[in-house]
Order: sequence, then structure tokens, then C-alpha cells
Amino acid sequence: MSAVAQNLVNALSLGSLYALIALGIALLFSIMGLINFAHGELIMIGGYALLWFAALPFALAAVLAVAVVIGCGLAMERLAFRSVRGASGETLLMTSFALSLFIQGGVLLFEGANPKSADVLGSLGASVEVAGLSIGKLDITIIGVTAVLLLGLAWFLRRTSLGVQMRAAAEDFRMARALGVRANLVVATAFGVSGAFAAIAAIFLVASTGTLTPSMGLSPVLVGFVAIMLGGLGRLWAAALGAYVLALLSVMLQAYLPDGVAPYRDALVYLGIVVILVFRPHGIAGRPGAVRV
Amino acid sequence: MTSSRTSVLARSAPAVICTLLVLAVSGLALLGAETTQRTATQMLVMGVITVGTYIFVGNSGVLSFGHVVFVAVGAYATALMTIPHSLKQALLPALPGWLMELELGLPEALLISGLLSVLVAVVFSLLTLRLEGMAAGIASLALLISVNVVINNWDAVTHGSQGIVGIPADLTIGATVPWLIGAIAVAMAYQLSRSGFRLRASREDSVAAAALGIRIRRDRSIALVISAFVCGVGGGLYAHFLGALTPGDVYLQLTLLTLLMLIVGGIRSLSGAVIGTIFISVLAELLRRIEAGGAVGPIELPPHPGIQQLILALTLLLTLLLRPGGITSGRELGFSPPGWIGGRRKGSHTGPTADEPATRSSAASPRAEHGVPTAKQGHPS
Amino acid sequence: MTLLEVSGLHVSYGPIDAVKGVSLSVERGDVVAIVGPNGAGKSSTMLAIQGLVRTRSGSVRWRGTDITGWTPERRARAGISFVPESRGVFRTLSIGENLRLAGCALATGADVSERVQLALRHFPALADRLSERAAVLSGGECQQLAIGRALVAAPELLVLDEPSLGLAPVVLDELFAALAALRDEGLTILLVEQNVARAVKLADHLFSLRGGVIERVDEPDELLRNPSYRAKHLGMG
Repeated sequence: MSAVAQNLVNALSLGSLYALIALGIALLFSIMGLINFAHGELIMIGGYALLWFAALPFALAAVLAVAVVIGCGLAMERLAFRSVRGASGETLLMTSFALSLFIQGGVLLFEGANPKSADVLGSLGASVEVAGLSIGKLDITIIGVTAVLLLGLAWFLRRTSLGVQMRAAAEDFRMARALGVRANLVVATAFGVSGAFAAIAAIFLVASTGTLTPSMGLSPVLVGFVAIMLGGLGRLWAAALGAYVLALLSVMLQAYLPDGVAPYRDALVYLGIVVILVFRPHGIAGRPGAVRV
Repeated sequence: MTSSRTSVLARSAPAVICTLLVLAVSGLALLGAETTQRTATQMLVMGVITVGTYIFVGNSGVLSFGHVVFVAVGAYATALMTIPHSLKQALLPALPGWLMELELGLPEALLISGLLSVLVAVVFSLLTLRLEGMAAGIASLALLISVNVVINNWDAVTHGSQGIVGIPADLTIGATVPWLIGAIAVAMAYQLSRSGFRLRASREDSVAAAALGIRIRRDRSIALVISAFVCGVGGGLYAHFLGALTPGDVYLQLTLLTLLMLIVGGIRSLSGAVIGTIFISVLAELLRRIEAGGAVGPIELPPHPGIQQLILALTLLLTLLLRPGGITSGRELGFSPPGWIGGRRKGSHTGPTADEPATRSSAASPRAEHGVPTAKQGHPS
Repeated sequence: MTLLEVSGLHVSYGPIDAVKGVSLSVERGDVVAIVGPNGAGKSSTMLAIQGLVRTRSGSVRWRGTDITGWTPERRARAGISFVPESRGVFRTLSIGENLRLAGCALATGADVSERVQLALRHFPALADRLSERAAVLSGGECQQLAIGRALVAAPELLVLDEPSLGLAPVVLDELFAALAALRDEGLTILLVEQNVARAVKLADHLFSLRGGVIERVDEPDELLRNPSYRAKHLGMG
């Protein structure tokens, strides 16, 4: 019994991490139709930023890391994506793919290919006893912070003028502009929030794994894609749902797959995506046409 | 001569010119040092892969990450079929008997690898050809990742992440050139065929394409299958060029490289695929030398790992942003197809203001009035 | 004064020329209507005025200033409110959110709530439904919301693309009564309309647009009475 509960907690923690990643990507997709392959590099930069600012107190380093990533996201928008704004989804995907490898190459050049270790949030390494379960403090932090961020995002989108503008832009960008919504502001905000989520995901990721490599962004971004596909393209909350479902699947498969098949778990997941896309090209919960935030 | 025969000859001109170009470059390389010849051989191999990719991507306009899957299948299949029996026994003891015994010459192995890739393509196309645009891109990406995972873990057959060594690395320029010429010929033949013609037409106007429905899916399948065959052959050649094969060799770096060659050269034309291959091969080799450090001409450079990827990715990025049509902008060498097949006329402003994000629903769309797609459809050009 | 001046507008979609050198001007306080058959280029002209399609050549001037290169949002903030043929109602937002959204086109410091109240005075049926999602609205209600929303931005010019499209006659009566009331309050209106009778009744000036080419209709009433005059301006039917 406690093993199942333990797995559930793991799934919740992992799902929270996945949700942060997925939402960052989904936000941009819902407003711009852009699937940002380079989102993984935002996470990677966030991780390395923690290393660069390691000498500072953690709170400061974290804030700076978030600032750096947001800055990178805005730079991405201004330099790379603005010119291709009207292009097809595939072109955008290809552009973000090129951007991703470009940034990786840059970091590779300056930081080297060897993995570096980073000690982040080491104080949360211990566990606490809750209801007979041993739960890591880090897990609790991840779950808690993510919940707060999700609520914050919901509040922002529903209760603030800019949030409503973004929801309108997500549904019909041109009409929103015709009403006076500033395109550049909405896009910059989307990249900013996306960057912030990426940075926080990076903090938790580095806290969990303790290592940094220039290619560390690839796995998270793939997870993000899968979560979004699973939940449904174009629906922000579906992306979060997909993330938690994916985490649950992952944890359960890890726990219960026979040993011979276990290494193929990832392949099974990705093939599963292809199958899902075939039967439901818009994801499990997605719907063609109108895009929802 | 009937006019149709004349025009077929004329329209084959690009293939002829490309072939001559390839022969010229190869001839030049043969005069050079050992390393130059090796670079040229790699270029020819990449040419086969790029042309193979072009057959599908260039004609259908569907940008896919999946062509490297076919390269991977071809590479591993050829490796397994051409490694000496004794080496196989030592390296891959778990191989089934018939595969263990099998030892073929390169041409036979390449052709069989091509057919194997075709098989994979058939399965893939059955699954995914209903998908459009973004979903197709992501599906192809998912396939690429899945195959990579399988290769990494199927130790019995692929030797997992350690890869296969001992592949006869005896590839010469002379041995590779015929395959590239063959690939160019196949690409040209498909381009001139009815299926290719229809596919290119659908590329320009996806609304019409949607209306044609099944027809287009069938043409796409045909293109994909042919593309897979050529890519599979290219993969086999690649394995023989490398001599040792690891999963990483047929994964994202190669994807970047081939897409780069296609897009920089010009994704819409066969000439673009060939020119792009030559251009990027030279660039990549230059960058590789810079990356490794040492003497480049009179200059002594320290090693700069990562700079090759950096500059190559930057090249792709700049091309997509500034000149999406690539070097050739959709035109063929020696023959410019009529405007609507070769690519958009430069300078014409179509559709809504270009700084719109790719929109799905559009309130203010005059679609009803004119029946033409307003959102900027399609493909880098 | 001349609020809007369009000169030599050319809009093309690839090889198709939708709008061929359209010129027209709208004086403050006037109602200008453009009638014409389907596919004539009416919508494209409206879209071009709002900056939602690229023009091949030609200019748009607003209160004397050349706004040809302006973004759609800048034009909205300058006082042009646009209601497209599809209404452009945001279905995932509530009715109230739709209305308040248009407030972003107002100058900073303006009271959005006040503007919303003013707009609701013209369309009172929406007033108690502000928290409902806009997806539940009928065609006529959508149109009311779209126009009401356009009013929230305190426009000087209201541009309407086929306001009568898809609406029942009873609903049309209400709608055009509302438009007439707005006109009486001094709002300048430019509309594209397939319903010639309604257009003739409302408009001070009438133009016809056929095959991308515009022409002034000097005798609007003749359009209703004289079939050959009608055919000359509107083509068949």
C-alpha cells in the first residue's frame, strides 16, 4: 500500500516538474502557434545560470537565473521568431530546432561538453515523515511551488486585463489586434512567462539531478511536447493535465514493467504519441479549430 | 520530335547539370590529398542522403525530421550484412544464425537496406500520412526518438550505445559517385512523373490538396517510399564511410546537417539539394578543422569544440530567417519550371500582414469571398 | 472634416487581384455604405482599412495622417473600430470580458466600465448576461456584442463588414435601428452591406464595388426601383 502511495507522490512531484515545462511550451503555442524546440535551451541556460551565480545566496541566484532566462526568451523572440511570425507551423518548428542547436553549440563552446555538477537546494535533500510515508522535502517544495504558480497563472489570465488580452490573442490573434491589443506586448509577455516557468523548472531539475550538460534541455522539451500532445494541443490546462498523466504513466511503467522491456519505456512512450496523434491529431483533450487558454 | 519529348529532355536538364557538377567536384577531389578525398567521399554520401530526403520533403512540402530514421535503418542493416562473419561472431554473438552467416558485397547490401527502409516507410506512412503540418513534424520527431531508443537498447542486434565496429571502410570516391548519380536520376524521374507533378501542385495550394484528399496521400506515400529507399542506401554508404557506427551518428546531428543542406541549398529543387550538399560539406569541413585546432592554411588555431555545431546551426537559422528559399530559391539549374511549380515569385505580398503568428482561426478572413487560403500556408520559401 | 480617405488601394492574394485601385472618402458624421456582389472585394477593402491585409499599393489616410503602414492595433487606438463579417467574438471569453477587452484601445486613465455601460445602453439585452460565455450567443446577439464591443473603444469611425449577414428580418430591424441611433448621436459609420435596401435607407452616401472596382452610386433609390440601374451597379441580382 505504501509503495503505491510512494509512487503517487513521485508521480505528483514529477508531474509538477513536467507541468512547469509543458505550460511554458503550451503558452507560446496557444498564442503564437509556435512549438518552441529551443524551450529546452531556456531550461539549460537556467541550470547553468545557477552555476554561474553559485557564489551568491541561493535566493538571489535563483532570482537572477529567472531574470537571465526571461531575458534569453525575450531575445529569442526579438531576434529569431519575430521575422517568421506568419510562417507555417513546420517552419517555426524548424527555426526553433535550429535555434536550439545554435544555443547548445554556444554553451558547448563556453562551458565544454563535460557534465558539471551543481549543488542546488541541498538543504532539501532530507525527507519528512508524513502519514507513514517518507517524502522528500524537495518533492514537497516542487509540488507546492508548482501549485502556487499554476494558481498564479490562472489568476493572471482571468483577472488581469493583460491576461484577458492574452486569452483573446490565443483564440484569435488578428481580431484581438483589431480591437487594440498590442501584439508585441502579448508576445513578449508570453515569452516572459514561458521563460519564468522554464527557469523554475530548471531549478527543480538541477536540484533533482545535480548535473548540467549543454544537451540537458532535450529530454525536458521532449517531455513537454509529449505532455502537450497527450493533453491536447491548444488547451493550456490540458497541457498540465497531460503532464501529470505522463508522469503517472512514467512512474507506473518504471515500477511495473518487466526488466527486459524497461529500457524501451521511452520508445514505447514516443511510439504511443505517434499512435495518439494518428487517432486524435489534436491530442486527447484538444479540439480542432478554436484554441483555448 | 514531339513537343512533349523535347520538354522532357529539357526538364531533365537539372539532373544532367547536377551530375556534371558532382563529377567535376569529384574529379577535383581526386587530385587532392587523402583527407580531401575523404571529405569528398563524405560529401557524396551526404549527397545521397540529402537527395533522398529531398524526394519527399522537397516535393511534398512536408517538413519532416524522420528521414534519418531511414538512414539509420539502412546504416545498421548494411553494417550487419557486410561485416565479416568472424567479426560478427565476436561482436554480436546473439545474432540469429542466418544473419550471422550473411556476408554480402556492398551493392547488394545497399539495395537490400534500401528495401528495408521502404518497409519502415510503408508502416510509418500508414500511420501518419493523415497528419498535416505540425502534427506530422512532431510525429516524425517522435519516430526518430523511438528508433534511437530502440537502437540504443537492442544490444543483441545493434550492440546498443557502444555501436558496431569493423564495418569495411573501403569507400572510395569512385565507388560512391555512381550511387549519387543514381539518386539524382531517381529524384529527377520522380519529379517528372505524374505523381511528382501532382505532389508539387499540392505543395503550392494545400486547400486544393485537401480537396484532392486521398490522391495526395497516395502521392505522398509514393514519394516517402522512394525517399526512404534512397535514404536507406545513403545510410548504408554512410556506415561504410564511417567504419564504425553508433546510435548518435544517425540521430540529431545528422538531422541538422541534412536539413541544413536542403534548406540552405533550396528545399524546393533538386539542384538545391545538390548545391546545398556541396556548400555545407565544404563549410562543415572548414569548421571541423577550426574546431579541432591546428593549422588552417597559414593560421594556427586552438581547438574550439562546439563551434561547428554553433556555426552550422547559425547558418540554418539565418537561412530560415533571411532567405528561406535557400541558394536556389526553388529554381533548378538549367531549367526554370513555370512559376507556380518552382516557387513563389519574389516580392509579391500575399495574405495578411506578415507579422501575424500562424493563426488557425481568423475572424477577419476574406476566405469566403475569394476561396483562397489567406494564412500563409506551406513551407519555407 | 474628412475622417478617412482611401486612395488607389490595391489588394492581391497571389495572382488574384481583389481590390483594384479603390478610392473613397468618409466625412465625419456621415454613413457611407458599399454594396456589391459577392467576391467583389468589399471585405478586402475593409480589412485593408483596418490593416489586417497587406496592400500592394495605395494609401489610407486617417484625419489627414497617412496610416498605411500602421498596425491594426494602432489604428484601433486611433479611433477606428472594426466589426468583421464573422463578428470576431471571443467564444472562450465571457460577454463582459469581450466588452472590457476593447477597453485596451482607450487612452490610459479612461474608465472602461463607463464605456461598457454606454455601449450596453444601445444593446441592453446583453446587460444581465455579462458573466456568461460568449459561446452561447445567437447570431443576432453576437452581432450586438461585436458592435457593442466596438463602441467601448470610443471610436470615431465604426467599420462594419456585412452586419446583416445571417440575421432574421426582425433582428435586422433592431440592428439597423441601433445603427441609426448611433448615427444620430454623431458616430461616423462605414459599412459593407449585401442587403441593398437597408444600406440605402441608412446611408448618406452609397458606393458600389464590382470586380474590385468602386463606383459612386448617385441615385441610391434607383437601385431599389430600377432593375437596369441595379444591374449596372451590382451585376446580376
